[in-house]
Amino acid sequence: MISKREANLLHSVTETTSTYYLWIAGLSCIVLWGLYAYIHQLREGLIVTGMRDQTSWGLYITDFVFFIGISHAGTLISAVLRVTDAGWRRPITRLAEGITVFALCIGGPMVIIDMGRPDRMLNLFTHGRIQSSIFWDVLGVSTYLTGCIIYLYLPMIPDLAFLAKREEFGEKRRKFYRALSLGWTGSVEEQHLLEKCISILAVIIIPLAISVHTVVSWIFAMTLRPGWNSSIFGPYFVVGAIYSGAAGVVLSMYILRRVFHLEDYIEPIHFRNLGLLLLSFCLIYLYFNINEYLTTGYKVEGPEKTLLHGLFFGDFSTLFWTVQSMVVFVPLLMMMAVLGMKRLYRFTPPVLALASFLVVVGAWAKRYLIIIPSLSVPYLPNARLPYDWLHYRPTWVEWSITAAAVALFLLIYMLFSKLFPMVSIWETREDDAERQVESAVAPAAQPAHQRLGTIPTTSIVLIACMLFGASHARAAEPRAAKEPQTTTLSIQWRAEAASEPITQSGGETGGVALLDHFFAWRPADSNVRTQNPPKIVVTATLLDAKGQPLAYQVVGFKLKTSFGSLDYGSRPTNAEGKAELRMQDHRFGQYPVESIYAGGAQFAAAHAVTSVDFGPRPEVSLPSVGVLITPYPTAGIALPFLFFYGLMWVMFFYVGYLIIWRLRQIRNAQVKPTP
Amino acid sequence: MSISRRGFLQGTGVVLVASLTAAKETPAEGLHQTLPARSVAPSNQKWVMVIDLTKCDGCGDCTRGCKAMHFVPPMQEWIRVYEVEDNPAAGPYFLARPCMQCDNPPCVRGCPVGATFKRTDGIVMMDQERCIGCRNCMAQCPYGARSFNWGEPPHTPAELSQPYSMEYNYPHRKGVVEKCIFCPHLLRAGKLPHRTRCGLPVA
Repeated sequence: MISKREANLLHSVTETTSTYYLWIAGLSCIVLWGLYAYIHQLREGLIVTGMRDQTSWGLYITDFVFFIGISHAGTLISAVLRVTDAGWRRPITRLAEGITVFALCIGGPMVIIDMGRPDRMLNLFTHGRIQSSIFWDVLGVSTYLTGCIIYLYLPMIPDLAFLAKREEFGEKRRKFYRALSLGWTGSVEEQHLLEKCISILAVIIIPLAISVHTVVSWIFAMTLRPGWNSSIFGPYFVVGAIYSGAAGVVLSMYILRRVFHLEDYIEPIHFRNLGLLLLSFCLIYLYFNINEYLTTGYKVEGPEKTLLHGLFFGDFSTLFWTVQSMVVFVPLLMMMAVLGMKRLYRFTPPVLALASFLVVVGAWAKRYLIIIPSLSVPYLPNARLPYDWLHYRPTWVEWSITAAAVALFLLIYMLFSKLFPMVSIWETREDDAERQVESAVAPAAQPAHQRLGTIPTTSIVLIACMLFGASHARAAEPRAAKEPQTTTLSIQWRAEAASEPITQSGGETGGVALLDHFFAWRPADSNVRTQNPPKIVVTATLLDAKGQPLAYQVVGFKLKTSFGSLDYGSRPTNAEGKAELRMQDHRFGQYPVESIYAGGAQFAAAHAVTSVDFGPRPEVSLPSVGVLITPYPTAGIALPFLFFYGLMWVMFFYVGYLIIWRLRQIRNAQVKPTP
Repeated sequence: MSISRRGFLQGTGVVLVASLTAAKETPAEGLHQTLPARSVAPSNQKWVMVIDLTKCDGCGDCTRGCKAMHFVPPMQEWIRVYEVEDNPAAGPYFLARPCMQCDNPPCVRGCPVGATFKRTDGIVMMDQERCIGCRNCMAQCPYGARSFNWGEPPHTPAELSQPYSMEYNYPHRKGVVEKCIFCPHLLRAGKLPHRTRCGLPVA
């Protein structure tokens, strides 16, 4: 026999109204239209979108970030509430977890829709580079999705067993429930095991959720774009995600409460408690916004200046201020009024739902404002392309696919609500026993990730050049024109012995080289030379017609390569008429070196050429300067990701082992003594 | 068979220690030995292009030369001449921007599939047969030196007459990123990149 409360919950699964079918039909139409738009895009290419070379990411990436953000709500809120054992969480956890899973199912594929060559998606697995920020997303989102599906499924097992016994359903549907319930009988041992699994997952899903949105922000923060190149982006995105996610939960609570008449379960206290959470997230988000814009706005310089001007007063200002008031100011006032003033208490659910709606819509637009304006202010603004190549305007294809994504999300959510009860039956049963009011505010998750900030070493090198011009003494009276004396220029060269071996290896040493190896990679065995190149001394001797050396004359030196001549400047001759050029170049093979005497009024010009041998060419090897980005994973980048997500997968398998293997063992142990 | 929690944790620990040891034992030279063939340039030169901006008059011959050579699709300029004004009092100057072939290229760092990679002679290459079109490299490039084939590029018979090669990057195709690649096929033949022979003074 079931209580009235449970029967009421079952209504949402058993009874289907015509309005529901109408919604399903409407949403399906939107989804089909979006599918048509996507097929059109597949055929024509991304040219049908508004994206062009300058603004190369648009609505799809906005949708991606938005949906991943919404997905945080759920699990993070339900996990935090579970870990802190807030009793009032029970009726709302499942609807929150549902949002998470479905938002991830929609958000993840948005990246595929954005890809130019979705047919080559498998390259990610055959040629994947863990050093790429895109790959982190693939890793993070897929791990997170797996975790969230398990986390949604586990607390549902007792309800599935309960549903499998209900006479209201047909045989097929009961079979389906029975298969999913893994033969759950509800004994004390089983319940202990389930509680254990759920609490393990609840604990690991918190860092996982934080990591995923951090990684999403790193797609942007790992670039050099103005506005994105910011170390605060990880926490900023995490807070934004939790905020929009919490708003999503409040909104869906309100809607489900109205649609399924769940007033007995979702009470004003839930709105109030979540509202307090939402209010604190709102304030934290406001803090992050100030932090983000004040730090760049204070020292307004460079490309950030253009970006901030565009946001605050320029092209994006209308959207920017609308969004800021939608996401922060208006909801803040609304929430403060409803939560703080006793007279307005009774309006809490509808006002909070309205505030949440504003936050959710605003969060989407905020993602747009993070992505588009930064791309619109490149370091090298181009003026010669046509207007629509420089200014992003989403096309109908992008809007259709975005609308379809939202519609598909609602559609899955609606179908889910018909298949499974949206309020946990077994958990609220416990709730009956201890109906206490807790207004605990779960501690805001602290983003633990810290990016290793790139330290731009901006150094200014001042080169002072001193030019010595030959001073031409002006003669008092014009001299009679005289034929300049002929001169001879002879040139010799010799190689000085190679100097002592280089003790340092490569250009950069110590910490810098280690850092290169750690994050990028320079080949250990590049042509880092163990010896300095030999010193080549080229001596030019300048003699006059009588064979006397000419002192204090200027002799220039040039080295000829196949691409042109390299000017080494000029040297003065000494008392013996000799000018010396010393070279210690990384140069191999034979090169002609030319010495030139320009001559003057007194002496005629002369020049001489000799072929200088710089030594044998070394073996083909890698360059010693510059970071050669490795095709292989490096420790600094790969290990944190592999370790973190690897640990998550290990935990998933452990939970899977517990719930599939151990559950059966427990049941077998129960069954055996009885026969 | 039942695995106790203790056994499970022990097993995990053993696996972790073993993999860490294995990672430590891998010699650093091992990486060098296995550098893929495509990353090793035919010569041990390291290429650098110096453009004398004082001599650039913005005629755009370099862009046209490059376009003709590589059949660059319309709206793309692998080398683009910008008119830059740093100081309003000093007036604008022309800045020719090919791919800078950065020593530490952000695009190579960001590519999820290794479609763009650095060759040992310093050239940042681009493999259009591997590119998945995610455009992370375009977001990464601070010079805006990369372009994308948003639609199917128009083809000419001359372009289609040769099979695709990474060294000249045509025939072009839809949905992949393109960039200036320093004409590796000309370097291989001992010639300078095409646009340098188009009147632009190169020091």
